Amino acid sequence: MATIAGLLLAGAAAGVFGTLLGLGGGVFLIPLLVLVFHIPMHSAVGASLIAVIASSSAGASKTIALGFVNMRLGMSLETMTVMGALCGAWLAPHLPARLLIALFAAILFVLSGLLWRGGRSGGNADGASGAKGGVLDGEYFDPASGKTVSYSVERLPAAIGASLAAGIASGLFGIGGGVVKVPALRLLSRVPMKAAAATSTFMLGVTAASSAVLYLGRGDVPLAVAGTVALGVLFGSEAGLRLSRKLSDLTVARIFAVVMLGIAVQMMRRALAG
Amino acid sequence: MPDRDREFAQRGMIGRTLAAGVALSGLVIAAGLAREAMRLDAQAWLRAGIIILVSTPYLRVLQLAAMFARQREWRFAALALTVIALMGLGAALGLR
Repeated sequence: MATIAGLLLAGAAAGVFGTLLGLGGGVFLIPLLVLVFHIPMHSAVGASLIAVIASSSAGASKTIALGFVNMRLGMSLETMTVMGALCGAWLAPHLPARLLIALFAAILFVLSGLLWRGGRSGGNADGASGAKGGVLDGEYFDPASGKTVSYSVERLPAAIGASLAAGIASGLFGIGGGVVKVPALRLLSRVPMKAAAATSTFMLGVTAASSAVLYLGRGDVPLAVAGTVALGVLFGSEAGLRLSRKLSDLTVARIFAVVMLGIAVQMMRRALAG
Repeated sequence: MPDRDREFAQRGMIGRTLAAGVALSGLVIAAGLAREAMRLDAQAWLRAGIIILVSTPYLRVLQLAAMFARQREWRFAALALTVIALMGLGAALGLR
């Protein structure tokens, strides 16, 4: 019974992060499943992928109606993420894993600092900034500020490049691409934080589903564990949505920066431990 | 920017697809877990729930492709179909 409650709680935490920050939650779930619940690594990754799909679908089903999700931007970037994930999975056995993880952790340290500062000084993070009439423009009502936020997507090629990198990182390290995509959308393309997080959540399910099929086919998804965690995610995503409605863009950006720093520390420890 | 009402209706439709996939899979998984708690065979229920969950993003991309095609937004329709093709390619390569 304690195990079931623990798995439900772990899933709920992933659901909160998925909906609020645009992270799938795999980066938290995998260590928890391995270290606390003693589930073998490949099974933990399989269960985590199912949780990411639940987090993405449950979160996006609500944020899309609020207008937070930019569907056209998501569709434009999804192609590169899926392509990157396939390349990353193919490259993984041929590259020095520890060096790559250390490099990736170093990049996350830098991005975390930039996002902390960017959340404060970002051009269109809070309030209306005005769309420029582009096909990727977005608009939503932010209940936290009581304002309608409209924005244009800047430097699309850079966001496309970051999405490819996010996909490759996903394939190489078994993490969701949200940790790369959200800062890239916020810092490079000047997309407001909530729209960046919601669009990332919208995309994560597709990337995770591509990999999950392989894990299911190989029998690497522990059904009861994955099912319990997925149910927890459904409760957590509702809490994530409530938080998203109440918190300002600046607060969400800073929570993301702190979580990112934690992920960077965890990855650096993994690289040093070998 | 496309017409706001149409955009709102489309968002609602995609959101309902995702919510339906999540709700249905949640119910089937919960039924499976309940059977397991009663020491009955639950594997088929759990597998079915997880397959419904994994299928939901595929369905969502297909729905977006159809939506963009109806609006004659060919670039986005092509992007959605490319994503589906890549997902299929990945599955085919992995299951080989």
